Amino acid sequence: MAADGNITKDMIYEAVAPDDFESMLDLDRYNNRSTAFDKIISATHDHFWDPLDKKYIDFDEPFDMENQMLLPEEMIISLGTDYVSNHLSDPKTRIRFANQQALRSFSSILHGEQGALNLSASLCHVLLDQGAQEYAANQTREEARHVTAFAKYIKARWGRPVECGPILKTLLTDIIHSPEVYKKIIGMQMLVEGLAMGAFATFFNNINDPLGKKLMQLVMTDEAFHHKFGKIWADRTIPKLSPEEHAIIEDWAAHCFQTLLFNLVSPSQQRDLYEEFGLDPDRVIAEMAAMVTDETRRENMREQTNIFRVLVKTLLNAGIITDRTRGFYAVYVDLDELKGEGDRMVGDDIAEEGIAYLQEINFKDRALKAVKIAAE
Amino acid sequence: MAADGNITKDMIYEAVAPDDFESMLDLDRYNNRSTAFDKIISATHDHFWDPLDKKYIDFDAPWDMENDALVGEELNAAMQTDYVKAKLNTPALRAQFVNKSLLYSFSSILHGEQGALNLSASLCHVLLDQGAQEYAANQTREEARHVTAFAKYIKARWGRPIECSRVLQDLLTDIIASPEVYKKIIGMQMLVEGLAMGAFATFYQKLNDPLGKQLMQLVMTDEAFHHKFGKIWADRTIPKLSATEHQIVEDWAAHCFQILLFNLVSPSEQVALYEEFGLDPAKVLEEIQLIATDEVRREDMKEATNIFRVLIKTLLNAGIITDRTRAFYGMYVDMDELKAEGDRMVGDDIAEEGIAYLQKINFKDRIAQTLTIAAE
Repeated sequence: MAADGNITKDMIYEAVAPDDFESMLDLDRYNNRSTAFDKIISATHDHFWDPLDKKYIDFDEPFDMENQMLLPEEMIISLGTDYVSNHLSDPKTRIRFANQQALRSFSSILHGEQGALNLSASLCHVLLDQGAQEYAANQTREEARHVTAFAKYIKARWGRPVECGPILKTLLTDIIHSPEVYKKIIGMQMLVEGLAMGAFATFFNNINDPLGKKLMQLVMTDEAFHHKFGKIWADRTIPKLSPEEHAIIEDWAAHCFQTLLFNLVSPSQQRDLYEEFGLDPDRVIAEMAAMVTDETRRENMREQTNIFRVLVKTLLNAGIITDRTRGFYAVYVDLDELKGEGDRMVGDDIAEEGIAYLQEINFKDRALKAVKIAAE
Repeated sequence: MAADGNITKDMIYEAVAPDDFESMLDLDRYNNRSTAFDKIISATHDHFWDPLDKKYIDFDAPWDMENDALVGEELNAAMQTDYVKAKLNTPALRAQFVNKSLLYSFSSILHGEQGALNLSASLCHVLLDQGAQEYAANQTREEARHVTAFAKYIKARWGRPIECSRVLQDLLTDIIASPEVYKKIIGMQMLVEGLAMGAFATFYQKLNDPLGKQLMQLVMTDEAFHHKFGKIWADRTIPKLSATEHQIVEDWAAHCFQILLFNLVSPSEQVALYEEFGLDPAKVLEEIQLIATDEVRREDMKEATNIFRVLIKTLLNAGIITDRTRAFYGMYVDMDELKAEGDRMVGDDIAEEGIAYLQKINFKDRIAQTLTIAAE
């Protein structure tokens, strides 16, 4: 293990302390810049989009939140229990419940994007390779537009987000402040971004709101590249790890996975929602536990777009999962089947279609505008 | 003065401690996003350029560094002395001296850009307004391409940069690590960026090397907006300062100005260069001292493109300079004349031409390319 705890196996991921600006001025650093990230840096112009510009996305597009569910009912697990289903028999109440449940997910995504922005900015302070640093700067910029976009979507549909769950908040704070690069890259680029790709693909395929669907696709055009940065790290790091280092990384990945799983699917995080609708939270949780067996979980995960399936596949393909944690993930997914599927990810097609759409907006039918830089 | 020392006079510049990620998750923050920076954020797509793409700039363009001076001899203070003129008695020797001397300026610019990258990333951690934060993220990305571009130019012309001077390094480290927003914005956005605009405008007009000239213009298309961020801050802050706060801001600006002036024009910083060319540094310094009278300095500053003239104009127009420091700047420039010139900056025309050039590249004659995001 590297003395500083970064577990650096390739110089392109070499890191310094967050307050060590002096190392950034090292003369050989500039010429030693790696080219590993050049393609994903240059690609940013192709998939440029701007949540402030209606040419790309118009947050004024209406949706009848009172009479329509944003997500199909089968995606709201608690509505599958007899108790909740019977209690929320009035169609409008049912819709309001489902949409309020969706707000939980979208708020988590918004807070996650905010975390990704700060995490990427923190990478700019520690990544020594100038190419890696430029990539991180680029990701910072892209995460900032995601924060803007999700904030605008939540404002348009619900008015205001809900609090970030304490578990997700702790994880985000931990990886932002951690000086260890492996924690940042596994935690954010592989796990949070992997989860995001899965979630966005699921929402893209299921959401009833065309505005939400478009938002998913636009965000995915960026996220696909962010996730790839993590993949490049894994390809160049995992095969060179000692058994002790592998154990550290594998444990950290499992810790992050469990945190994210708990944050997103644990009904205990939604007690206030159940109470708001006059439900007894303990009863909802008990009925859901009875309904959600290991078998149903696995069945759900078999669905291509299942949120966590993408995540487990990322970790499996990266070689992070060994027999030590295989049983932990196998509760949710058939690992052999997943391994046989190859590298391609569920969100890739959606992102590629999105980039084609953006190329049309970005590079066609655009007249030159007059430029004005002088003081306002 | 604000309790935290940020001297915040407008909520759009409200700041938190660099490690206070929790404040970024405040629910009202997302909807309170200011629109003050929306125009300069959205403009980034118009002036996108990529130093890794030869379509924008080709660092393989040749230049005969042995025989052709990159800039005219009149820009080199030492070359104006009889002693240096007599010693460097062949055109090739003089060209090599001028070129080597210029490496000092370009290395300072490179290190300054690196500082700007880290400074912008540090702003992402402290600026609470989500619009201001998105602006900072965007600037981080643009500074990263400047570091790449200047590193490539220095590699192409000289092979390797030279060390960052101690005074510049200390200033950059100070503003990056400082939690006080006013120090960051005055130090970087107003002073360093203002100096950069002046330097780039000078080099754009004086460089004989077409590649260097093109680089200046491309960088200026970004810098003009960065400088504007500082201007917006000043417009919304300076008029509301108490006398004590104004004094703090004015002193900090004068401190930064003095450091930058010393770093860029002090001939004592180039002792190693004089020795390399067989010159007696003491004699060179003595002769430069004799010719550089206050009158000559003022005459030089009257040139619209003089590097420091832009800087002083920025501070003057922002209302930062009062009678307390007027005489200090008055050594270099006629303050009344400068005040009468209005807001428009010397680099604005060059930047606007540059953006028109980029719009042509970015939005015309481009066909959609085949995409592939899947794993490499």
